Amino acid sequence: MYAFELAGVTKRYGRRAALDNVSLAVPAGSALGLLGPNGAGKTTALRLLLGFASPTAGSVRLRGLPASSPAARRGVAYLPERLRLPARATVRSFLRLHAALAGLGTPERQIDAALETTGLVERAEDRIGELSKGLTQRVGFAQALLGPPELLLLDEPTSGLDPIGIRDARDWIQKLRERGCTVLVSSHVLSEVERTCDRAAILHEGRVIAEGTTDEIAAPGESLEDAFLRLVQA
Amino acid sequence: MSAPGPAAAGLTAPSPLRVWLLLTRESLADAMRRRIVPLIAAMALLSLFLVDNCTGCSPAIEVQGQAVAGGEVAGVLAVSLLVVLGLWTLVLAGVLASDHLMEPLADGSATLVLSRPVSRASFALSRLAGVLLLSFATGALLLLAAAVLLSQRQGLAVAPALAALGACLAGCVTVGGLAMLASLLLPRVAAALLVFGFVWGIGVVNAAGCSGAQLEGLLGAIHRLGPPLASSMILALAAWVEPLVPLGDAADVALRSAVWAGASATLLVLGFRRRELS
Repeated sequence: MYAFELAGVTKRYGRRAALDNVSLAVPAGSALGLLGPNGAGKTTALRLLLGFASPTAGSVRLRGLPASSPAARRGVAYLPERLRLPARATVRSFLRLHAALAGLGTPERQIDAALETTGLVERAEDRIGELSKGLTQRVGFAQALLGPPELLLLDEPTSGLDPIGIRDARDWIQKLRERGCTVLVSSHVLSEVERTCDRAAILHEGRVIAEGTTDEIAAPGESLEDAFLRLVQA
Repeated sequence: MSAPGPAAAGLTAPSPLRVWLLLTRESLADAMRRRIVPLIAAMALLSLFLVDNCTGCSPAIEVQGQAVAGGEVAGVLAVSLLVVLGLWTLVLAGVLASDHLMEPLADGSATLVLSRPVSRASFALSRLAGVLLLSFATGALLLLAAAVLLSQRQGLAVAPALAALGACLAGCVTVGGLAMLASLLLPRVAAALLVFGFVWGIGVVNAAGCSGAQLEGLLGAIHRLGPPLASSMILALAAWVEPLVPLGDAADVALRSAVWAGASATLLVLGFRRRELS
């Protein structure tokens, strides 16, 4: 079964096609990097997967269910690029809300585990508004790690993290992958995708112009970055 | 290695009611933190002070040279007082609702919640419920305080005021739901101004219709078919003034009040389902 699937998806805003007949099917347990220049349609693809928008044509399915169904989002975690968290909530109360919304059976144990993993144990009772941008991003990761999730959708996940945070984030994603979690990373940072994903799809002007393992996309001796530039500028 | 699946991962689908209650608690907390809340508290206290003064006087009134019984005048004034307080509560519900749903959508904080297995209906109705709890608590304080003072000083029964409070709640759902729906389509200021015009416009039409004025055309249609924002409260307080004023059919107004409340909440959910999130 596919963790998620876009089949012949077109999304238009007026006359402009943000996505044009895009088809992507990602098997459970794999990690896909979604690459593309600004305006390529990466964020639109994520919005469609989360049911935030409906396709103009085609179908979007999560775990075999239509993406617009709330049931499709069971076991799904998301970390947006523009992370806005409730400033007055404490880290723990925020995680408690998300654990409840995710339907976790033993939330406190899961919350403690997420706090431990993301290095936030000492800050658990702090208000989120008092945290630095990097620590806030860690709180975002902590809510995404609750469960753990079956499908993790990340939009520019290392934005705002320092080098240690970036290394840690890479480790968290790797550990989730070892537990069978499917991961989708939308990023501009090609090296990040190269390290965390086994497959990549390159979007350009709303179309998938390349998809496969990094070895399949890049020519022999070519880095993913070189391949990306060659494909996008062609 | 395959993904563990939601059940294996210890996930159980939370019931829609539990989700709604969780989100309503968050929504109420958000509403309480709004900068307008201290202003609301100050205006409520000022209103109570005015109510205390208004209910304390006992004027000798003559109409066309005839002395009017104090009880009759007290009844009309009491109805006017409670209806104005009720309309003020409706405005409050509408103004709070006019950006309570849009704010978390605009700043992006709603996206994490809606990425969970949370329906659009649960989210929108919880945002509405948070606003309603705050505005209805304010309305209950104002209306019940006025009713108790009127009971002590003018001898008016408290029960009609409780019925008016129920009518006010139904009106809050209508105004809050429509204001939230309008906020999905209009800028915040426009939605708030629309609330003012809507509530006070219908309030004036209802008051005129209930006092026996012949309303025709659009005004008549608004009075007979529109949300009975003021007429439902006037009707609830009928026992205070019935000998003086023809008030119409209670069952019709109560049914219309419930239908408008249900329709506005339904329209809000439908409108929010169609909304694309960024």
